[in-house]
Amino acid sequence: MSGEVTGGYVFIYASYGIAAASLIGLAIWTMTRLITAKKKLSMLDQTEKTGS
Amino acid sequence: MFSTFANPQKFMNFTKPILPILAGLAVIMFIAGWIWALGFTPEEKFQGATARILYVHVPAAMVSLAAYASMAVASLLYLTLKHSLADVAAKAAAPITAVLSFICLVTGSLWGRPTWGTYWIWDARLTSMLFQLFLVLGYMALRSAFQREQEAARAGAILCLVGAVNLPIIKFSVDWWNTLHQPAGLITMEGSSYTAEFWWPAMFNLTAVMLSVAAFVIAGMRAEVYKRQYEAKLARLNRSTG
Repeated sequence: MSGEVTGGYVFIYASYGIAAASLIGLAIWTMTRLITAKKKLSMLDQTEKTGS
Repeated sequence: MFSTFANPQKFMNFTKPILPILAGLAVIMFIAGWIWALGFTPEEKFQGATARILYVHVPAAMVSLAAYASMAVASLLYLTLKHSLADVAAKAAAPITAVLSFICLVTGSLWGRPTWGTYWIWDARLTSMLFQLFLVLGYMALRSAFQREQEAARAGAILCLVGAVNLPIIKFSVDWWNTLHQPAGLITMEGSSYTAEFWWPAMFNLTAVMLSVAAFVIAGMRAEVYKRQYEAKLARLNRSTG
């Protein structure tokens, strides 16, 4: 490296953007899995109770 | 204490009120931490504004190593104690470990272009971190290749433990070899090389990432426990109805 870095804002915003997109994507995927798994279990519980 | 929280039902009861608090706190800290980092931190003398990338890169790197280490501990507990909740924990930690490794590599690459003059170099630190990403993706792929959960858990745990040898390589690569990547700076045995104006926002963002990992792992574990309860109940119902 010879001297100081100037500018580089596109790299900064790309870094934060990619990090945010990755974390939001993982959060949506995790919540979807959690809600689906909970719903499936409660539906089965319901089926078991009604005996159908 | 371990045996108390190793009970799946007690774990579910204990984590139910904790999860929304952790998740909410993580979101608030992320927003505040990133606003702080992007809007209120000074430019570094040599790196200029691009030093702001390090408020994402360094916490992601540090916590991804800790997350992999926790996967390895959980895998060891599963193999030795055969407790299913340890396997659930290892499985739930894998996606966030992969995402943090990915964020670390991408943000490091984006920081490297303006400061080093290149997006990538086959440096020991970068290469060993890339290996960790592939290892975690391999762990997830290996687990999904098995039909039976017990076989998946055993194979995954062995792979995870073998892969743990990469952890000290990542950590000490900058000391053992002459690398382009700079040595650890935020937290070292000799104190921090960061001045207060860089250290506080870095630690704040590190805390945000740690909280988010805790929330992701708990949410993933809860989803997995529900899934296993569903499968066990379905199998029982199928047996009883013949």
